[in-house]
Amino acid sequence: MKAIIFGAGAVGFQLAKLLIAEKYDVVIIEKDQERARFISSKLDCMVLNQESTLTSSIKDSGAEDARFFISVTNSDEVNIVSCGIVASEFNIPIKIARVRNVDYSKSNLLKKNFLGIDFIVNPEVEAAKLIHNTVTLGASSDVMMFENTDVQIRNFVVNKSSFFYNKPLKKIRKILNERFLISGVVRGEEFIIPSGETVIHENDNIYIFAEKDDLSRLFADLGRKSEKNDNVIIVGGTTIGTLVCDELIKSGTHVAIIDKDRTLCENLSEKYSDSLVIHSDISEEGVFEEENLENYDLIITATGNEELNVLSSVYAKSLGIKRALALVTKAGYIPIAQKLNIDSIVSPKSSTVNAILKFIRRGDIKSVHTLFNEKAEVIEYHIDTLSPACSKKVMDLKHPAGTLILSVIRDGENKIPDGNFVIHAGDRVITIALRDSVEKLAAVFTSDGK
Amino acid sequence: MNLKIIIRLLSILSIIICISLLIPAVMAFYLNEMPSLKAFLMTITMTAAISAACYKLTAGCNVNNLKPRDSFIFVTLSWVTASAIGALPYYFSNSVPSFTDAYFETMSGFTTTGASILTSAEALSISMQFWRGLTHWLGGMGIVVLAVAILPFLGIGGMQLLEAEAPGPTVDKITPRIAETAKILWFIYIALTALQTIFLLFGGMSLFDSLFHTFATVATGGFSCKNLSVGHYKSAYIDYVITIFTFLASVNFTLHYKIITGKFRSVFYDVELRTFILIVLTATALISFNIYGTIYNSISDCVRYASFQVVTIISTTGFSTADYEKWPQASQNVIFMLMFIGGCAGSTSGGIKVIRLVTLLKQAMIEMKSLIHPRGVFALKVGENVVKAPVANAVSGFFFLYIAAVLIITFIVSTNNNDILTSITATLATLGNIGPGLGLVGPTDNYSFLAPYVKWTLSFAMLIGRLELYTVLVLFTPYFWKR
Repeated sequence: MKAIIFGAGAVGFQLAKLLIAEKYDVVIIEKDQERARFISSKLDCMVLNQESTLTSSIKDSGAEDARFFISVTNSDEVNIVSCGIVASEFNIPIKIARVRNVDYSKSNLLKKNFLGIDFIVNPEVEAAKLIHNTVTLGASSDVMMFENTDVQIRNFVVNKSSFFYNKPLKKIRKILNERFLISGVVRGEEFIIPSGETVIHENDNIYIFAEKDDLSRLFADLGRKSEKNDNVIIVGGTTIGTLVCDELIKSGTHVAIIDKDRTLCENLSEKYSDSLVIHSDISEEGVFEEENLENYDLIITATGNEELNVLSSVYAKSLGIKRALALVTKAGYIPIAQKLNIDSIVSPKSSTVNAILKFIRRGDIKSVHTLFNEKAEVIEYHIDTLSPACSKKVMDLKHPAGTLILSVIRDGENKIPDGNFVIHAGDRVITIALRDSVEKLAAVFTSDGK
Repeated sequence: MNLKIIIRLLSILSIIICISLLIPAVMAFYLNEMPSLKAFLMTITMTAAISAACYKLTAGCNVNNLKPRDSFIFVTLSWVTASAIGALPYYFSNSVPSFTDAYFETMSGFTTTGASILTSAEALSISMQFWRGLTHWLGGMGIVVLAVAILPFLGIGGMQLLEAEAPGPTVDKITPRIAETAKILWFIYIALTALQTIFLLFGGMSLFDSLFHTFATVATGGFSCKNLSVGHYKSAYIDYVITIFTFLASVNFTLHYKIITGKFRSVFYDVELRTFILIVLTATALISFNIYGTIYNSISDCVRYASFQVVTIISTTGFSTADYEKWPQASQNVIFMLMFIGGCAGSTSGGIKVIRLVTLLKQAMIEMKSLIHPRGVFALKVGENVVKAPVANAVSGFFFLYIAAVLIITFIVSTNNNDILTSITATLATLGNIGPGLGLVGPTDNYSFLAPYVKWTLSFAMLIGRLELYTVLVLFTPYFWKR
C-alpha cells in the first residue's frame, strides 16, 4: 500500500519512518534539495525533489494509486490547496492536511469536506489538548488517556530512594496490592516491555498503566501527589500558549502569561484582561523575584525555543515552583528533560503524528500513543466479529514478542485479563508494542492485517 | 486654511437657521405679535441676504476639500454664528434689550445649557418663547449633525465634522454611511420628541407647553416657559415623565438604535449605561434619605423630588421642581458632585461624561496594578471594548483641560466679586451645559446680574463645553496656525 507525504519536516520525517516500519511504500515530496538528500539517506523510501508541479511529481512517481496523501509542509495554505489539487487530479481516497492556523482549522468549511480534505490535524491544538489534560491531572507526569474509560498511563523516573529501585516486577506486585501494571521501561536509549523477571534500575523511566484513581493513589504513595494547579504561569504567548490559556481560564485556573514581545503582550492583555500578562524575557534576571513567580504551582514553558523551555523549567523548579511542563520537540532532548526532573513533557510533533496515525488506522483502531521517541506504541484496538481475536481466549492469541496486552475495556470497565479471559466483539483491547512488533500485533487483532 | 470653503459652509448653515426662524415667524403672524414678527423678518432678510451673497461669492470651490483643520474652525464658527443670528430676534424686538444678554440666552439655548438671563420667562411673546425652545431642540442633536443629515454633499468631510461636534471620546458609526448615521440619530431624536409630547399632553399640559418642555428635555437643555420651571405644574405625573425622558436623552443614542434593532443584550451589558444608572440610583437614594423628615414627610415626595433633581442635573438639563438650595447641605453637595459627571457619550447631554470617568478610574487602577507588577502589561478595557492608548490619553488630557477650565473661568467670575460657591457653580453649570448652579445662580435665580464680561466668558464656557474643549481650544494653540 502506498502513501504520499508532502513536506519532509520533522513531522513528515517521523510519519514516514513509522509508515515504512508498517510496510507502507512511502513517497516523499520535498522541495529543499538538501533535506531531500538527507531523507533519502535515512529512510527506505522514494524521495522526489519537487522541481515540477505536484501533479506531475505524483504521476512520475507512479503513486497515483496511493491510499493516503498527507500534506505536512510548513504552509497551511499549501497543505490545504495541495489536498484540493490531489482530490481533483487523482483518485487517492484519503487526504490529510496539517493546518496550524486556528481560524482555518476551526472553521466549518473544512469540516464540510472542503477541497476533498478528509482530515485536518492541528499540531497546536493537539498539543494544547494534551497539555490541558496533563494539567487537569496534576501535571506530575506525562499522561496518556483513552476515550470513555478511566484507565491511563503515566510515567516517572526511578531514583535510588524509590520503592521500585532494584526490585523485580514480580516482587513489586506482591508487596503493593494495587491494580496497576508496569507497561514499559525506558533504560538509556532502550525501550523494554517488561516481564515479571525484569528488575528496575536507577534512572529507569517507568510507564504505569492503571485506573485514574489507583494511579493517583499510587503516585501519592510514591511522594508525587497530584495536587491541584490553581496558579499557573505560561511562558510564551504562542498559539499553544494561548490555547492552553483559554482552556485553563475556562476551568477557573489563575493564569499568568509571560512573553518578551511587547505588542503580543498588549494583545494578550486585551484578550485575557483578568490574567496577569508580563512583558519580559523569562531568562532575564529578577523576573521571578519581582513578580513573585516562585509562588505559582506550575510553569508551562511553551515558547518556540526548546532549549529555553527546558532551561527555564529547570530554573523555575529550582526556585520553588512545584511542577514544570515543557514543550519539547527534538527527540534528543526528551530523555534529558525527563532526567532533569521536568515533570511532564509535551511534543507537538508527537501529538501530530499520533493524531495522523490514529486517523489512518481508524476503524479497528481507537487510539494510538507513541512513546519515547516512537520506539514503542500504545494502541487501542476495537474488536468486531471479523477480528481474528474475537471469541478467543487470551492465552490462545499468538501475540508476538515485544508486545503486551494491558487491558480489555468492556462496557467502559477495565478488565485486566488473565490467560482464560475470552475476548468478545465490542471489547476494546489496549496493547503496548515495540516499534518492530506493531505490525505483527495488528495481524492478531484486525481483520485486514492493517 | 481654506477660508472660502468655511465661508460657503457657514452661509449654508445660516440659511438652515433662517429656515428654522420661519416657524416662529409664522407663529407670530398668526398670533398677531407684530413686534416679534418684525424682529423675525428683519433677522431672516438680513441673514439670508448676507448668506446668499457669501454663497454666490464663494461659488466654484469644492466643499469636499475640507481639511481636518478647517473642520475645527468651521464647527466652532458655526456655533458662534448660529448664536449670533439666533440672538437677533430678541435684540430687534427689544425682548432682551442688551445684545450681550441676547447672545448669552441664545448660546445657552443652542448649547442646551438652559442658563437664563430672563427675570421672567413668561414676559416673552409666545413666538419668541417658541424660538427660545427651538434653539434647544436644534442644538441638542448638533447643528452640524443636522447639516450632515440633510445635506448629502457634505458626505465626505462629514465624519471629521461629526467628531469635532459629537459628545464623547469616540464617535460610533452605526451605519457605514455618515449621512445615514446622522439621519438615524435625528430619527431617534424626533421619535423621542413625539413620544414625550404625547405623554405630556396626557398630563394636562397645553400643546405649546408640552412642545416647549419636550424640546428642553430631549435636548437636555433646561429652559422653561414658566418662571417656576417644571415646578409650575405641581404634577407628579409630569415630573416623572420628564425625569424618564431626561434620562433617555442622556443615554447614548447608539443604545436607542440597538434597542430598536433588537440588540438588547449589548444594551444590558453596556458599562457606561450601568455606571450611569448606578450613579443616578445612589444619588437619588442619598438625597431621598437626607431630605426625608426634614423637607418632605412622605417617602413618595422624597423620591419624586430627589430623582427629578438628580436626573435633571446629571443629564445637564437643569429644570427645577424644588428649590434645592433649601435642602440640607449634604444633598446640595451631592448635586454639586453630579455637576462634574454629566450624561453618557453620544447623547444630548454635556459635562465630563460617565464613559470618561469610567475610563479614568480604570486607568488609575491599572497604574496601581503596575506598581505591584512592574513588568505587567494591562489592557484598559471598558466592558468588552479595549480602550487604545491614544483614546485613553485623549481622555486624560480632556479631564485636565476640563478642571483647568473650571478653575480659570471660576477665577474670572469671581473678579466680579461673586462668592466662591456662586463662581464655581456658575462655571460648572455653563461649562457642563447644565444651567442652574448654587448660591446666587441657584434654581430660583438667574444670570442677569452678572457683569457683561462675565456673561461673555460664560457664553464661551458654554461653547467649549458643548464642543468638548478640544475642538475650540485647538484654535488657540500655536500649532494650529503654523503651516
